[in-house]
Parts: sequence; structure tokens; C-alpha cells
Amino acid sequence: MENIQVIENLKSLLVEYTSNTETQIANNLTMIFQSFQNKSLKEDIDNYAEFVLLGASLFELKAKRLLPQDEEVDWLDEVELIKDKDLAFARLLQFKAFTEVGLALAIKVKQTEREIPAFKYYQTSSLSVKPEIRYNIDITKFTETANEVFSRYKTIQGFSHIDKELPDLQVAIDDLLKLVDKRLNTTFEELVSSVNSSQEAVAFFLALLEAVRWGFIKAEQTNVNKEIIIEKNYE
Amino acid sequence: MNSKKVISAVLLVSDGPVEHEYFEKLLTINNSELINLIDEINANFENADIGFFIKYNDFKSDIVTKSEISELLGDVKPPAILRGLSTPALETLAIIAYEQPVTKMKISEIRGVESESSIKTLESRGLIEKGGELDVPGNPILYTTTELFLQKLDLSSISNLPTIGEYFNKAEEE
Repeated sequence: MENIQVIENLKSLLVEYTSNTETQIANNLTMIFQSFQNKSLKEDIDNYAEFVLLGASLFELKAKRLLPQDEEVDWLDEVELIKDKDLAFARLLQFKAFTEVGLALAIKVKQTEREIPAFKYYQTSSLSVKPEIRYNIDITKFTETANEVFSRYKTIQGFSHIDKELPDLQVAIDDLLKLVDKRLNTTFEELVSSVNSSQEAVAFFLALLEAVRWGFIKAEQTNVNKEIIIEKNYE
Repeated sequence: MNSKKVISAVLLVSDGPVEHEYFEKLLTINNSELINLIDEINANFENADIGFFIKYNDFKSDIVTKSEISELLGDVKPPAILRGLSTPALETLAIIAYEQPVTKMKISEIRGVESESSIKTLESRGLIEKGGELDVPGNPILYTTTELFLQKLDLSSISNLPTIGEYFNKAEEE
């Protein structure tokens, strides 16, 4: 059987694992063992790696099925878990690869440093050719630019913004708790979507920190790029 | 005849490598003529058993010592740029080289640990620099490798870095 075909079969087997009968699974695992003997597969390292990964995943599922189970196991959850494990493994490989690359770079630098550039102390860095800058401007463009500059100048506020009345933190805490009370769980992004100014959003964030500190609510952010999930603390 | 004198003298007094475009304008020659002249100078050096030569790529040249006498230069040679650098710092350098422009957070995410001190060390050695800010809230700093990094790896551009897979292919061959 073609290598690619074997892998495709394995993929579909893994995806539809729950719907396969024990006999089908046993047959497919036997097929994996037999395919390991396939010489051409061994020669194709990329396919072989994918093949081993799929085989290992299937064996892991099979092994879990053999264990005594007190409760119903959600096999789709198990597949998800294996996916997470694979992701963690991929990240480990990426990290290990960069460690190796770092060492390889160090070796290359060491080799290059065997040829030492002449030591010079004259400041003649101007020998590098500077790119020529050409900028064409006509009277209309010049007028537009001048207008833009003057309009920006007019909007400079100086220090007046410092005297602005800032939102009250206590009010922000009360508002935040009211909003959290209304919804079972929400996100910080959702809460601040209704505020009118960035100052209010900052006050809301400080209120969130205070409310978490006092144990009124729970907040969780699993990743810096993800949303801050907020829920009432019933403990 | 004067061209060879000018090229070797300019390289002797220049502050770092000299771009070929400079010679081409100065001597009104093209790149292949320039390379031929550099090769002739190098042949003269070789015949005279001189301990340095002109090293060049497609874009620039510089005078460098011959690698075979590196050990004999002892204390007069400058300290190695990677002296005392730890494996974590090298990892960080590799990540910045291949993922650039990259934020500190991304580096730490790949390494699984804080990378602040490694970044500072690499920055102080001149191997990396701040190359702008990411346009997201907080504007995290983006790090890139420097010209010195390219020089130390003998590369003319960052696009000439080997692909990561090549390191492992070589390792397997060895």
C-alpha cells in the first residue's frame, strides 16, 4: 500500500475512532505493525514520523479502552487531550531546535572570528553610500501639509488634561459589581465595551483589581492575548 | 594600476567594511571589474606571504587576518563576541535571528522562561537591537539582529541565514 494511503487511512481511523468496532481497531493496529516492516515507508522520514505519531495516538486510545472504567469516557475529549499533548511536544521540539541552532550559530561565529578585521580608529563611516532622498512637492501638497501641521499644533492640549475630573474608583467598583451580579460570567472586554472614555476603562480595570483583591469576584486570563474572564465569587 | 592602491588603502583606513558601490563610483568600474581587482590584490598578498587578505561578498569588502594564524595572534586579537555567553543567551539569539522582529513575550513563550537578562546581554554585545514597536496595546518592543550579527556570521543579509532544517541535515550527515 502507498505510504500516503496508509497515513490517510490512519487519520480517518483516528478521527472516527469511537464509531469503530473492536475488531476493526484490532485489524487496523495489526496493519500498523505490518506497515512498520514496509521498507519504503522507513526511507521516507517525513511520512514515517507522521505515521509513528498516528500509530502512537491510536495505541494510546486502545490502551485507555482496556483499562477498567467506572464512568463513561468521552473519546472526543481524549482525542482533544492527545492534541494538547502533541502541541506541548511540538513546543518542546521547537525549544530544543532553537537550543541546537543557538549552539550552531556560536560555532559559526567562532569560525568567522578566526578572521579578524583590521583594527581601525578613524571615523570614516561616511564611506557607506547613503540612499538619495528625493521628495517632490507642489504648491497644493505644500499647502495641505502646512494646514495639517497647524491644525495639529492647535490641538495640543498642554497640561490641561491633568486637571480633568477623573472617574471615582468607588463608583467604578460599585458599577463593576452590579454588572457582574447581573451576568453569571462575563469578560473584562465586554464590561468596558460600554464605557465612554479611556479614563473610565482604566478606572474599571483598577476596580476589577480591587474587587479581586477583596474576593468579591474571580478573574482569570489564561494567556495575555486572551480575554479576562470574570465571575462572581460564591465561596 | 592606481585602482589596486586605492582599494587596498581605502580598506586599510575605512571604519569597517566598505560597500562596493563606493569603489564603483570612485573608480568608475563595475562590480565584476572590482572583484577582479580585489582578487589580484589578494594574489599579490598571497605571493608575498602576507598574513591578511581582502574578504568580500557581493556587496562589501574588508581587510581580515588569515584564519590559519588565528591562534598565534594571542593577546593582540580582540575578545570573542560570544565570550561567557550562556546557552540560554544563545537560544535567545537563535530565536531572535529566526523569528525577527520579535517581542520579549514571544521569546519567553518559546523558551518557557523569562528572557529579560539574556536580551539585555545580547543587546549590550551589539548582536541585537530594538527594531520598533508592535502596534498592539502596550506597544511591546520588537527585537531584531544587528549588522554586527551578520558580520559575525559572515552573511550579507538576514535572508541568507540557513533554514533551521539545514542545521539538522548537516548534523545527520556528520
